Amino acid sequence: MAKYYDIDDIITEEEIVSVIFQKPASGVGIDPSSETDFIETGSKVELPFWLAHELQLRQAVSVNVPPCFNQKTRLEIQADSASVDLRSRCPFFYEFGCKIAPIVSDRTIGFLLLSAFKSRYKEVLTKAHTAAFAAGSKFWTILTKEEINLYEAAQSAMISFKKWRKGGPRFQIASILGRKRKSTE
Amino acid sequence: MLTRNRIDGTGGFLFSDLSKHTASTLATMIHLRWRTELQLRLRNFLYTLGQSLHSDSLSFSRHKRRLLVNRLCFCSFRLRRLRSILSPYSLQPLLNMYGRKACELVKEFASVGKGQLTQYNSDLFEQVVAECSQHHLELQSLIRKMQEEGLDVQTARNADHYGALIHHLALVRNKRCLMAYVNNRAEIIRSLVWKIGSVLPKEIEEKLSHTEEEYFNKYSGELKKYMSKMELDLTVDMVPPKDPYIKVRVLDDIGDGIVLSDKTANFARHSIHFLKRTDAEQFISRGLMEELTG
Repeated sequence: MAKYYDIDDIITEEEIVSVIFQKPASGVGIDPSSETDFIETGSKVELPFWLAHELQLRQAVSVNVPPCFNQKTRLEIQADSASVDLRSRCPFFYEFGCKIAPIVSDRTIGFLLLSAFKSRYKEVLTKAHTAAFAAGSKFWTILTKEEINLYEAAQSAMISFKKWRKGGPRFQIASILGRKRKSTE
Repeated sequence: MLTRNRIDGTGGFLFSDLSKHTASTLATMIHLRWRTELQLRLRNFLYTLGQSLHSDSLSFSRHKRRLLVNRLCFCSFRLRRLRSILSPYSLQPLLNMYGRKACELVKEFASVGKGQLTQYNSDLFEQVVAECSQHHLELQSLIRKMQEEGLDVQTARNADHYGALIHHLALVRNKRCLMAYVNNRAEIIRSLVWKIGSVLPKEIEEKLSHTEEEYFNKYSGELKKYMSKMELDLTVDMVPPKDPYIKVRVLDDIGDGIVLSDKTANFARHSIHFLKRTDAEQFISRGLMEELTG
């Protein structure tokens, strides 16, 4: 459980999936619009992933494919994956896909993830190494969290390289204190 | 009045003016073809609205707040009635917001950049802990119910069992979020001791809770004890050294007569000194000096 304390992992697992209950469950309704607190067999419910995963292990639910892997997204990725806005669909597209793939009865998610990542990776790398400054490009806003990590790693590598070539101050103020100290005159 | 062109391409619509509509127009909208998605969004919206009405950060006036609360009650009442009418196109109920608050806590921590701290959110923390006790109570009552019916708690798989299971899982999830929150903050505090030394700067002190400050002090105390036993200062030379001496410019008033390892210096603002690197490192990482090159 190397990822127990990992913040990104926790946020990934919070994504909603829709499931169908195979067994009834009582005493759980916190659903604001239902009158009773009983979930019948065969009822369709939206659960966060962590709950759906555990219940599926105990065969209490069956999980449907979440909407971010539906046909529309697939077509878009086939057409031109570098400009698909994955972040609005699911900011942890790849992580979530990896977790969903074993428990959903769909074998093609793995290939989808791989092809999307391969074609986007090229774009990410070229933009990261050549973009003049990060905040300006709109490219940034369509990347998922994992791609952003790659992007930032590449950018910081470039910056360190340039610094090494130029030679600048090597001791920095601690990053937690913020970048600029206001000079009080 | 709601018109078609308010509906954006995905079939949702702009919720910013939702509160202006009466419950009847909302009901009419729900009867239109965007049933399920609309219901889902509507419920989400109502839930977050209801949530935010409780939070202090909302800047609504009291009158507006009361208006919204009335609308909220009306809307949720109408929703319930509509649900029975529309049951074939079944609503997809959100299994409560189990673990939502805990996730919110974690997201708040993650919302600032890596290595930065937010203000310690003790309210939300307490709320999550209270939620945990509630789950525990429900769990116990379900188990008791199973025992009263004479079923073997370990092996019976009836509805109560699954209900108890869900409560248990929610409890474990809340625990994980809380632990991750505290642990990640503690990690940042530890790295702070290595960088800045034993004195907490004011702006960081405001963001920590009482126990976290104690943790900071104890940790830096232990580090000092260890370093004095080894007779070695471990917090310097974090970057591989090039020169034993560096040139620095003082940015803030540090005071006069500071004793350094080889001399006593007066640090007036904007003065330039030629110091031993090991002495200067601590001042630089606190932002009181900057390194001059060239």
